[in-house]
Amino acid sequence: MNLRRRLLWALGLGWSSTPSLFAQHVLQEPLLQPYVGANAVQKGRVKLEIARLADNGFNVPLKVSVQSPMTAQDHVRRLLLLSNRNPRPLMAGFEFGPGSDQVLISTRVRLGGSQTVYALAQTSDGIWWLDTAEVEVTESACLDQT
Amino acid sequence: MMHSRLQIIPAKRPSQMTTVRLLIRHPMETGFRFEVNGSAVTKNVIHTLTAMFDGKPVFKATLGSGVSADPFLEFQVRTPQSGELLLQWQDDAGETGEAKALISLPS
Repeated sequence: MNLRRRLLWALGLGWSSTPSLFAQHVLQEPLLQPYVGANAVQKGRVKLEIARLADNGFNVPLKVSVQSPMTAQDHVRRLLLLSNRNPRPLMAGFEFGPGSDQVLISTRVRLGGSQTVYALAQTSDGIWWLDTAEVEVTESACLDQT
Repeated sequence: MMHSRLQIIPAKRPSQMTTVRLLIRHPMETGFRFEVNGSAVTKNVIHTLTAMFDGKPVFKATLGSGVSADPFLEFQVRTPQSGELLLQWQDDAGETGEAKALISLPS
């Protein structure tokens, strides 16, 4: 009886300490690998605002904001905009000084067809935060076969 | 010298952010286009843009062919006191441009 109870307790402990169950959702995407390297990628903190339907792929307005206190200890280092269908995936990158800015960027990008747009932000602790958005593009910015 | 338009919405209090809006006239040539005679159009994009406030770098943007022609950029800068904001950029052809604005906070 005592042994059985002890075994069950040990089993329960082993189960609860399994790291994969409690680790936050970590994404593995081949597109992001060259940019993030071995660092962890998590969903959250970044907000990418982009229209679901873009009539003209040559000029797609988008807005990115990152939630961060922007102090010397905890701030956003850089922000990347990636596309999974453009011939060059990296559309734009932004770097911020320590404690200097509130991260709120808006710009206009080219999109070569309907795809997913990725906004990646790296905080000072090295973690990458991700937000994605699906965009339907009626007229692609790529006129050739690419 | 490239043609550009700069709009500044200054912070109302030193703790607030100043909004910077910049529009540059530039073709942002991707390098994927071809002339009628078949020759490729060389890539020419504004690759780097930096913002300095009172001589201190506050923001840097690395643009590529994925940014649309006549690039538009809006960002926020912390301006604890009045000063000069200087924006400088450079394209692949070696051409540079700059825009500056005096930011005066109400005191």
